[in-house]
Amino acid sequence: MSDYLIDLAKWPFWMALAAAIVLVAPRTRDQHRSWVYALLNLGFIVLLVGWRLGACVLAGAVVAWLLARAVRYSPRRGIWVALAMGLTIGVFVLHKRPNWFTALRTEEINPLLRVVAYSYIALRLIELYRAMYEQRCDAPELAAAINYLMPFQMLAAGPIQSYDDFVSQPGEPRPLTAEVTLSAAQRIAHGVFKKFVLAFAIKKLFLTDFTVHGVYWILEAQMFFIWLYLDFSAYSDIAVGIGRLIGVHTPENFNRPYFARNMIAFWERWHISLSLWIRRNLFFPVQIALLRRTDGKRPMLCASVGFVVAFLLCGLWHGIAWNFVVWGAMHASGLIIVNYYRGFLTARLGSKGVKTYLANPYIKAAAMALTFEWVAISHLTFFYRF
Amino acid sequence: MNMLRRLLFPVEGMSSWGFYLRLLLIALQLLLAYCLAEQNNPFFYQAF
Repeated sequence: MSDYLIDLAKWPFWMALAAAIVLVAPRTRDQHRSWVYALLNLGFIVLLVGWRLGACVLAGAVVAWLLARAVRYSPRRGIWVALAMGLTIGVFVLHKRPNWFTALRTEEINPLLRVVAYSYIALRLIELYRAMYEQRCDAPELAAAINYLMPFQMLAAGPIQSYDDFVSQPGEPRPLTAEVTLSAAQRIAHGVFKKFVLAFAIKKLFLTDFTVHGVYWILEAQMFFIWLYLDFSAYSDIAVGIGRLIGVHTPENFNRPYFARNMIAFWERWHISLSLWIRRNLFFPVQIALLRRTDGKRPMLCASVGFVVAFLLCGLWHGIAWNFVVWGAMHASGLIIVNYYRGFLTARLGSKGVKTYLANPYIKAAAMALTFEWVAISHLTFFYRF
Repeated sequence: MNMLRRLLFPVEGMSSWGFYLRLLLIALQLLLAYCLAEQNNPFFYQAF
């Protein structure tokens, strides 16, 4: 079981893509499209983990769907949403810290949660329950819930589609034209090339998992960040390309992050779907609640607290351990510094002066380098346990 | 089959050399990736 993995160098993923091209893509006006896609998503999981555990995944999806309906339509929505969120977070903690639950004998469930990348599913579940609780839209059909929670092309590592984005997609996707097919194929080819050629070369040539110390350690931090971008954005490229091919909207996840000139801009360009999730579900709710409490008198402080809460929790999403808390603290402090520095510059130079200052190419280059280094150093926390 | 055949001819609004260059690039990228693909090489963010 521990060997099961969504591996793009093996056939199940590409077989699922071929099946999606044949079965899902042509069904642009078919009422069964949603069910065909749902069965394909489930079939992909069965290919990975077998019938018995595949049935467990289906059972989990049915429970999540029933909970979503209860949250949406029950008169006791508050109780149901607390139960649904509690269950989602409980399973998330089990996924991240299986050693805390040894008494429950969950040996078989833990690898399953890892295979289906439950961390990403948990974020989608929270989006779904929140949308149901706020009654922004109707509860989904079972097939739609499966397609939202575990689309095969986004299963391994996102992007994390927002529920509003999912339901806003037209029921009838545009027919597949030669132009779309070409751009999708190009995107997929670009992704696999990035992963299996460029990232592979950097990994083989430069990365040692930080086992070498001294000056090389500094070089490795830079190379790791470059490798991470190639590796991660490769998966997003493949997912977006597949989405285009089969007519399923798959959000973009990266936008030239190395060109970010500060941490705020960085999070607008890096892992965009997670960044937007954090904004919608953590940062804005905390910031707005604090602004209301303080009558809007301390906006900078409210934003700072919002950054700290959001990024500490984002760190814990990566893993329930102190090194990820440090990662979150580093990113939160970067964001807070940028926010205060912007305020300081505006007070000192005026808005026109700030524009001139920011247009300076040397300042721009230095800001980009500083942002790059800050993020590169923050990634070191992935390798060191505190 | 018709769809596949159509894919081998330049799409509307694109020069034929541009189209075939794109196809060549796709084929080259896929071929290189196929030759170098290493099994059990998960994406880093799959670990989370």
